[in-house]
Amino acid sequence: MELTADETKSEDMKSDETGDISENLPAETTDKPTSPISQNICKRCSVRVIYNHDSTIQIKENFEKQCKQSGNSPDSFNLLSDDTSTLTSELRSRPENTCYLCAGILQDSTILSLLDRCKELLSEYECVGSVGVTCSNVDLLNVRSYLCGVGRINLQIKTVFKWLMAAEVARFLGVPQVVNNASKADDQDLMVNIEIRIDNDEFMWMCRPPVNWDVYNYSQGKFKSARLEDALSRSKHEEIEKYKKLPGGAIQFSVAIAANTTYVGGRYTKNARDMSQTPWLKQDGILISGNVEDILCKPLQKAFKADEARMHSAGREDIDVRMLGSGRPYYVQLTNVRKFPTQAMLDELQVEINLNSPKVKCYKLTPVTKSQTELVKLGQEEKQKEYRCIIKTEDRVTDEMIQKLNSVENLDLVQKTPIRVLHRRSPLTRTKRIIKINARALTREEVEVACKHDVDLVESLNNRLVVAEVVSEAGTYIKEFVHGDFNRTVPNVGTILGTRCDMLQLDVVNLSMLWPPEKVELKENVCQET
Amino acid sequence: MLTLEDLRDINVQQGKLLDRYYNVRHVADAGKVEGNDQTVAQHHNGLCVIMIHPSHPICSKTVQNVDFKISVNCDRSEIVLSGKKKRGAQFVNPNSKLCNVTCTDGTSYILYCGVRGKLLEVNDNLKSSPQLIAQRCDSDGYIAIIQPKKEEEKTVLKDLLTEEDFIRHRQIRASNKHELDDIMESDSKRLCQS
Repeated sequence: MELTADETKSEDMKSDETGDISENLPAETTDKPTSPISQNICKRCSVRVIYNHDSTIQIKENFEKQCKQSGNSPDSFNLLSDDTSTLTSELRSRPENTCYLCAGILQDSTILSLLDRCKELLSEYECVGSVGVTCSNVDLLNVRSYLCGVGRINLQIKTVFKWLMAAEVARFLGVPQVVNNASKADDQDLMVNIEIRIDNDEFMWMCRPPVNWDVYNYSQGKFKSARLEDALSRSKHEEIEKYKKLPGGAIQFSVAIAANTTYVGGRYTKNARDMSQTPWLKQDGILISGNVEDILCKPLQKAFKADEARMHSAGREDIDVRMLGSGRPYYVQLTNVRKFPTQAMLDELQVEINLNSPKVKCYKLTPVTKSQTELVKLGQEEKQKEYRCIIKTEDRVTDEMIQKLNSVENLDLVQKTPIRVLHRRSPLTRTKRIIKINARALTREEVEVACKHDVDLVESLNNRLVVAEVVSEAGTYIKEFVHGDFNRTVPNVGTILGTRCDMLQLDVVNLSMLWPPEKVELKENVCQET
Repeated sequence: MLTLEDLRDINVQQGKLLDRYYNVRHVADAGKVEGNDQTVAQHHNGLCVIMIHPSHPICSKTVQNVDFKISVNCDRSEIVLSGKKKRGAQFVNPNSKLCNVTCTDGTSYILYCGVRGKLLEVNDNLKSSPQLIAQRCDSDGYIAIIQPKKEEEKTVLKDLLTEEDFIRHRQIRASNKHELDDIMESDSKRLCQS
């Protein structure tokens, strides 16, 4: 029963083949075993076959050279080189024999029409810095080389196709070409993703028993290319020949452009005690107006026409804590930008942001790569932070008490997750280190200023206000180190001084971390000079 | 380093830690034991810290022992939690027993949870230095931390007494006691007379 079903299907296929699909295989291939020479082979495929055992052909430049040497065929490598600009329209209209091996994929007419589609899609984007091309699997076509007796061709259709497309797309955008697709797709601004769909129903049918190549995952409708290579190399020529039909009916291309997520790095300072880092809901559900994230992200999102902008920073500070010194490292993640950030644009934006926001300032805005952004997250855990806090003590402090604070050096704290964050973090006991404390009691004059010269207050608070500069390991909850969090952080300033303490003010004074990374090009220049 | 601006910026009259970050409510006569007053301080993030009220009789006594083993099978200090979601926590109700405090004068008080939720932590320091509960009842002497259900966060405090309610309650309690004393006094007088 199965067999007859197959036969009828084969009949169907045959009648299909006579249809008007231009990129179908030449009819004669269904009849006889054929040698490559008797087929229409395009220039590029013939180079692929001729230099099959030459490993240097895997390098784009060598391939290009060989293609050029193969004469003045229109399938020259640089399609749009100066002297062929007039040729292109002619090329497109010229009826071209479809290549047997690549089913036309590597031929100029295909490439040019695809390029037109790409150009149309690419026109939406501005300031593209780099571009990459990806292409779906076309391994199914490899069956053809086995059928005509060439066997495995080491230089894949896909590889050559990507060379061709990448070169042309890069030329159109005026950006440097990515060499041999070696660099990561993530590092390119734009990706041109080309999906090549090969109508492979007949091949699916062909691979069923008795040959049973097991190259299909029928449940998923997916083709297992590795299995095919394997099966083909194991099968005898006659065996393959039995299945006279070739895989690959109509070939369809679909082009999609995807902008990679783009990152802008920088540092920010915050000079206000009423601004949170992210949109913040007060207890009564009212949104506090203005937050660091919006100030830093919105202008970038607008300027680069991104769908979304998100801020990631090395740690965060509370709403009532200022971020001073050289600022906190952060980066903004921009999804699907239409315009790619350049240093000059970022310099302008930085000025604009700082003009419009008195409380939050940003510095050193610069484009960064995805891999560089990991530094920010790493730094969050590794770096040292310097805080300055104003502490109010319950009892008056003496010089000896201050001395005790100042003698602290590399003090390990046992810190239970503070109640302040316990609702969203795991209950753990962490060991954190206070590296150094530099403290002194405020002078009477200073207390007077702090108390706005209220005599009673000054009297009550004199010698009860301490300013302490604390250097700590990143991740130390400094507020809790001061007030003790119900003795859940030990030791704390209270236990060191021997009196209850409360924090009146906290500033992050410095955050030691190299960010954003220095430009690599600069380093190279230095090397060349020296 | 410290500028005048910074100094002026200091809010020297900032309230106590408990008032700044917590909403404080009270439970009067927990377990219907007169004077067994407890305090529940809910942090702005929803977590509730359970303490005894400073007016609690314990505060003027010497505490011998704080025992979290409230029954043969249940020890409140046996806390095994994992992850952000605090899986494995004991779930407690307002009138679930939390611990038993024994004083050197032989009196003992059962303290209750006061709110519904997951018991995240009991104060382990109380085991080694039980006196903390009396001396530092509103800070280091806290008893436990309870996390209400997300949807109940806003409502767990509503049945508890505010500071004013609590003062009023104490006044009523005191006057009732006086009345009661008066009645008993007059009764005894009457008895004597008869």
